[in-house]
Amino acid sequence: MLAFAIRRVLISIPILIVSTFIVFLLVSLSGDPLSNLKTKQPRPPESTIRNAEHRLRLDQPLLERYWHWITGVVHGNFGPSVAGGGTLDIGTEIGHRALVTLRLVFFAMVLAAVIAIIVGVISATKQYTKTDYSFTFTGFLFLAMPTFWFAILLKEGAIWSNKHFGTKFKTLGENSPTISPGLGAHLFDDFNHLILPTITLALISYASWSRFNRASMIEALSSDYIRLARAKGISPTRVLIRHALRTALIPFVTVTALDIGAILGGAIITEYIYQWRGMGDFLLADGLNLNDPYVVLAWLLVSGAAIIVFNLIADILYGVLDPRIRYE
Amino acid sequence: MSRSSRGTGTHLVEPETSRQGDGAAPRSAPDTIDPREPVGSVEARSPWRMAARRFRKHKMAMISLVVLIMVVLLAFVGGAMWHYKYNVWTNDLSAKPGWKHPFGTDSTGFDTFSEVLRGTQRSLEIATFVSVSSTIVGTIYGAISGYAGGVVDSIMMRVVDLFLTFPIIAIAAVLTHNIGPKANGWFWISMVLAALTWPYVGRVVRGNALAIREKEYIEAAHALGASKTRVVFRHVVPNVISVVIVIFTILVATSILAETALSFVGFGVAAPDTSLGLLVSQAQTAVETRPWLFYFPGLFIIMIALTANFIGDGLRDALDPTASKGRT
Repeated sequence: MLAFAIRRVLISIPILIVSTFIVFLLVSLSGDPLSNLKTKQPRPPESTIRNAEHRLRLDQPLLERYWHWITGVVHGNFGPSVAGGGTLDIGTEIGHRALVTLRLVFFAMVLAAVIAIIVGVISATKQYTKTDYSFTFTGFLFLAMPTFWFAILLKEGAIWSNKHFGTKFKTLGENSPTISPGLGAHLFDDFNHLILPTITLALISYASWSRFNRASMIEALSSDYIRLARAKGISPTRVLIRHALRTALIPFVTVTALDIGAILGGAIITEYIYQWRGMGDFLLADGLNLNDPYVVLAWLLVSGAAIIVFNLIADILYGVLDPRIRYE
Repeated sequence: MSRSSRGTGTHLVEPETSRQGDGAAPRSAPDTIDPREPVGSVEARSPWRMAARRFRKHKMAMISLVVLIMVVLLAFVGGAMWHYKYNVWTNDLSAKPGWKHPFGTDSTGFDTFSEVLRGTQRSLEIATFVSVSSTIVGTIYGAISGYAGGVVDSIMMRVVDLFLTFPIIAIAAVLTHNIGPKANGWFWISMVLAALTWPYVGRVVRGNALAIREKEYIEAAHALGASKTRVVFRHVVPNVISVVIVIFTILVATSILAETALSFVGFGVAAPDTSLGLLVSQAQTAVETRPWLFYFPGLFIIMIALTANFIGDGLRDALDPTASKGRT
């Protein structure tokens, strides 16, 4: 198992390096990170521009720049940043933002998986009833719902509810700038801010997952060992949970873990609307709008690593849940 | 995509009997399968006709097909006939929906109905371009990869992995940010999205092609001296068509959601042109004061994506009779 995990990670690393190289070329060849500085009025002195060019390694050939970057990353240095004249340390910043985004992604995935399992089991046991059809339709509806539209709707709904019912939904940011000290207050504040974005991100992912779980539940429920379990007189609930659901969850876990890429994409949109200072905001605002190749690369590296880890977890869980699978 | 990627190999299509226009009803085939149909009047039915019959039995898919055709007609024919233009302002500022302006107007006096129609045109054009081109590229790529097998297959699939590692929306933002504004906006956005979505098609088709290459008719073709190119295009590709058609419809939904999300965060279609995502983005601060600006473009996105998904669902049932009805 350990050997398998190590081999999987080793295979993924070249893929990650190749993709960072491609993105590095793309970002470096097109946008000019100094376009803001150069178009400034009155125009800054030539020496300032040359200093900035030197600082951002723009005076070096492309391949050398990439080599500098990748050897820097090994030592924990993510390269010079454009923002704030280089005062921003990309490594620290992305570490901080990755935690913010990971918090959202984790809770959203758990919530989506729980809803999907419940909906899938109910749909499968009540196949072709009104309940099943309405769950199916709801699933399709969320599958077709643009994340940003639903997020705005939810946010506006929360604001309306705050105004009319005195509820205290937090609609902006990942935490409040001013809170009373103490770990409890901090956690409570973080949790409050998490509610709406988590619901947004979870409802978008749950749709396809519940369809998937329904299908694998139906497949499991129609198999012979379920008939045998029922014939032995095991209670229906136990058959459903211990025998059918356990089998159905094997492919389900893989699918949820493999969906991490799509969820990270959804998180970009969710963060954008709830104005979280997470990874998505880092990519769009600091990376793309400022033409900062090193920020884009750092984003890519961190999300790529997250995706590789999730794929690995999926594979390992597959082995844990399904005793027939053995890794050599 | 997780749903479509589970497609199984079905080989109900014989190349010589393939009839693309199965939308037109066969002359004497009744709309529903009638069990009391006289046994004597057996009519030769091609697989495509049988699929068309099964599709017509799928109520949601038929309703969706009608709705989608109506949306397309409204956008292209209605958009050309409507007396207000999306880029010419009227004298009615912030008008509520009424007879003169069915979807109201915004604060500068633009007629929302014409804007939504124009946005729908753009979004449909992009979605069609993306789905057609990425389906063609992905099908050929996947067919070659699966048919070749061995080292060629491994290398081709690692390339696909490279594409599938990262969230489409993030990479698309990076790419359109670099090339978007320079040229004809919507064409480049389509190219970028197509470049990022074809690997999904490729992976599914490759899985089916792997099964097909072991079939007797492939061996027969080899024995008859058919070249590899001929085998791929005349034997492998026609036999994966049923799976490809289903992926195509789901891609329409996926790409319209991707394009609108991209335009929403400001890396897609940009003013003076408009798209459904851009319209929602412009209306996000006006949800409470001028809700019509926000709801109508959103509803159009949902309508297109929802109907495309339902049509895909119907086609899956129609083209893949071996699949149990329980499968999504």
